[in-house]
Amino acid sequence: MSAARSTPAMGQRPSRRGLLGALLGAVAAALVAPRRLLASALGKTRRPRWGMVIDLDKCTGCQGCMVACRAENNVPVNGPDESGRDRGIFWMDMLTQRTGEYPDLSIQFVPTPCNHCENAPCVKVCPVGATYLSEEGIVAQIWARCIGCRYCTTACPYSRRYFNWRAPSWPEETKSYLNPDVATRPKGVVEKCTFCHHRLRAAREKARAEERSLTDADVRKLPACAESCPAGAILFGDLNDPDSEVSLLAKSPRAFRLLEELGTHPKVVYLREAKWKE
Amino acid sequence: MKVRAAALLVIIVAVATAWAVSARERPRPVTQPIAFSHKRHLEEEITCKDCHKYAEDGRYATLPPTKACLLCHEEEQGKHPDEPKVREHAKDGGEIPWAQVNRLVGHVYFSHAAHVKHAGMDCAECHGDMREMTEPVTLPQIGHLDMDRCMSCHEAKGASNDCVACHK
Repeated sequence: MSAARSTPAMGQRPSRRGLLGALLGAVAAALVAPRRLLASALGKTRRPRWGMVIDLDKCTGCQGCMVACRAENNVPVNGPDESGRDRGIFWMDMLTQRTGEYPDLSIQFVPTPCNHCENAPCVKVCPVGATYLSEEGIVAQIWARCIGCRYCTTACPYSRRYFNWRAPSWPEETKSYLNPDVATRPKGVVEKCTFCHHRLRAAREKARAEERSLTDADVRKLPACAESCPAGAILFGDLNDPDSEVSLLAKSPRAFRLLEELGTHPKVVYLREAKWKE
Repeated sequence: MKVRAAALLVIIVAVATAWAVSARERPRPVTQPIAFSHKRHLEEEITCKDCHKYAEDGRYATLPPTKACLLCHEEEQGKHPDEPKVREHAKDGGEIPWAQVNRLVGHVYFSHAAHVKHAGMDCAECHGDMREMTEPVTLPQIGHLDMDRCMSCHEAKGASNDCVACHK
């Protein structure tokens, strides 16, 4: 029956098996062809997905990243009174995890910038679009648009967002050293780590002036925290580039992300030899 | 009658408030120390970049130092009553206290290099046609540059409209 039906059709149309073979071939070719080539063939350029790798085995807990971040991003120093009321602002914080009792005590230092979640809870709750996931995967915040409702500070499972309970203040000596590349935030808005996107912009303009594209070497120590880390524990780069250092490290068996089970898909990857328990 | 008076009052208050709010947004005219004519200088085939040195490849266009003026005005040039003021200000290495006209709000990043060199924009697109400007500049020449204006041009030219492309 099937033979009788297929025989006369053979001359005019390709057989079902032939079609299937061609289809499988096309799929296999698409899988084998490098993604970048395919994207350029389709006229699309690959967008970077900025991410960070923090090697906890290298971190000595010196807090250099915290100081560098504060200086770079004009993070207000609100003094011990405010900090005592849990109103201090730390774009880059240093959490500690203690095991044992002194003298058999070990402490794990965990530098914690914003995780720049791919599926960010803070972005979902912002009623005015002041915080959003940028084209390149940075969870950015436009200070001038924030109405200070603090939904985002509540929604962030990592507590990486800070509200300005009062007008920002700095010690008199440091006021003239505020970074002109980062706008200061007024009282009543929420602020957070930006992955130093102003530095990214500067690096991109420099590369453009030199008529070349941005490379992994340009960005791997780009944020102030990464630049300042004496142990080289913090690296920055494009998670979409399979050859970038952060991409390679993110595949390491030591790699994990904070509160992965929440499905927030953080783009800050931690490395630790010993198993991480939260 | 009372209702009509009340309604009139509400309208007057609303209009006054709107005017006051918009007045805050409007740039105020500045006073320049010298009656500088852009037209007169551009006629001498001096280009924008000769004085605003970094307009093409810097972030800020910058104002010229007075010693740049002295390249010509060291000697008397013409009969304009303000002309000798250049030399007066330049005495003992002094500078002409030009008042800044175009100001950028604190939360926006803007690079002249990106717009002039890379996007190939003409200075006049934002600053107006200075070839016809005989009076000193006291106000931005093409009115208030708002975000709509930035974004529509970015969209038309295929530049990024991502918030953090410009906000800092």
